[in-house]
Amino acid sequence: MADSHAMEARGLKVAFGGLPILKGVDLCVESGDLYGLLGRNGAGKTTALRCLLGLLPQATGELRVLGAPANSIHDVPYGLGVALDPPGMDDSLTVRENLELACVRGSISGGRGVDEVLSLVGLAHRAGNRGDKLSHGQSRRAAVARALLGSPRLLVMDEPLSGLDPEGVETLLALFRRLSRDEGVTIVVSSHHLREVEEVCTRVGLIDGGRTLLEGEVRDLLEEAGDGLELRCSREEVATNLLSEMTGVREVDNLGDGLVRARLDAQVDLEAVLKDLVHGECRITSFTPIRASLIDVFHKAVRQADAEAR
Amino acid sequence: MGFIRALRGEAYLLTHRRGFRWALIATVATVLLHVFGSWILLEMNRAAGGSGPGESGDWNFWPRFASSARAGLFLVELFLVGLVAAAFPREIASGAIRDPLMRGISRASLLFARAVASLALPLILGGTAIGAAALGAGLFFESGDVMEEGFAVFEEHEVRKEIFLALGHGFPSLVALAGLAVFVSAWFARGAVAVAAGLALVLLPGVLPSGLSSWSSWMFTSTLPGLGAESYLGKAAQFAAGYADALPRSFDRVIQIGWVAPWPALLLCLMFAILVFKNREL
Repeated sequence: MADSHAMEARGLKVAFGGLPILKGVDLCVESGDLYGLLGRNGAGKTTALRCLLGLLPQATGELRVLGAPANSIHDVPYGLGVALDPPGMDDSLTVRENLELACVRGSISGGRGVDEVLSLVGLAHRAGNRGDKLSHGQSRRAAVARALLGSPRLLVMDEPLSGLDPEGVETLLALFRRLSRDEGVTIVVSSHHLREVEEVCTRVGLIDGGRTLLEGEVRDLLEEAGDGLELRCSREEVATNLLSEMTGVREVDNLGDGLVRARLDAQVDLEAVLKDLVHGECRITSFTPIRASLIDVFHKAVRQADAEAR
Repeated sequence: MGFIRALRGEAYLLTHRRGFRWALIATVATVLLHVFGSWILLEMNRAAGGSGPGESGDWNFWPRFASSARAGLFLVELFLVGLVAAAFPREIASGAIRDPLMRGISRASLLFARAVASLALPLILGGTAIGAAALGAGLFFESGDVMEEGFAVFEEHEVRKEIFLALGHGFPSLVALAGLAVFVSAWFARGAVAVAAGLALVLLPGVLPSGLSSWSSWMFTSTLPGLGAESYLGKAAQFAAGYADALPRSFDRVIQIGWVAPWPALLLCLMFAILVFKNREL
């Protein structure tokens, strides 16, 4: 495995009580990536992260984190910050004490201190609250704060946005962006908040049914998916035929009731498409360009996987 | 060194978790109440025409100190199982166990640090119980030779020696109990089950069928100073109160086994704990 890989899994498999959960996951997080690990609920995102972090000893495959095998994760002492699900705050300690405990255990003296990380996640006013007095979202923030202590080279966050209010989501996304851009921190975020992931991540991996469905640069995946077009007209058959014959139009779906959707190459001139449709007398009532999104990429990959499974 | 950092973390937990503080307070309170309760009962007995100081061994400092220390150690043993056995299952369920493992601390280092901290618990809690018993008994009772109806039954140095020996005798089994608590903590997924299993093992020697009872002293839990069915401290307290036959010669064998049996048990508990914990899903 190359040194530039902050985190890598090859052929990751794991079973619980004989039931296979991960059946062959391949992931590769390069140093400096802001990596989004996507998947439906129960797809195996959390399990994959737990395996990579050496928390599930029964996992098989080639698993490495910052150059160390997953089962020797303790060999990467000061480069790792982790916030998994559940957040793992000790309920009998205050938020500040939880963070101080992490500093003691990690022998953290330099880098970001307790007060700084609490301010970064907007939790300074709750520093004196015990773990069991925090809301779900506050516990998440506290776990993220703990992961940020010191100067981690790699941050692994499992569903960090889950349970956060919109302001909290914004705060964390801005923080991830800044850490990645300004400090070169590699960040792995598992989430099913696809819009947010698309907004900040440079690369994504999609897990479904215990397997990796796709992995790549967000930009490339969006380009491959292509921008779209949604139009409403009274002569959808004519519009479908016309669109199918145009260059740069990849696929056309006649959804009935006057609704037609099409996928377009990036260089297609939308004005020319509209002009052709008007000349073709499709009787258009609405014409809406749609930007390609990770949601489309996700749905397409999942649909394909479901079809193959059938 | 991951182990040293893990140990410092355990020390931090000991000084900051409320459970430990409450255990200390409860131990002191129980011991002082025990001494005070004994004094009230003896005073009531005297008021009803019973014996007073110098007339009965019960009024002597040493038996009161020994029995109050035993009451405190009884509680310490319960706390030891309760606090230590429930710790790992709770930390695993909440996910708190993961953070130290991501900070350059191996599972083995974390477990050994927990074991060392747990072995220190009986010293701290037990020491507190003994100290509180000495303080409480000193406040209400006079030390000296053990008297019965005006005659010295035992000289003070005999009784003191026996009680100090009994307190020392309880130490190996208390330490082994901490090891047992670490083992059940590493083994069971639920805190309540871990505590129940720990207590069941502690109480097992007392419920063994008669055919097996001669073997029970080999189980270190039978010689625990508080909960043990064959507590040397319990016998020493009776002896100090003037019961000359409280420490029969046949009990010598139990005492000898009690010095030895806890150490292999401690070793086995820690070995099994590390084996189990290494393969736990966290």
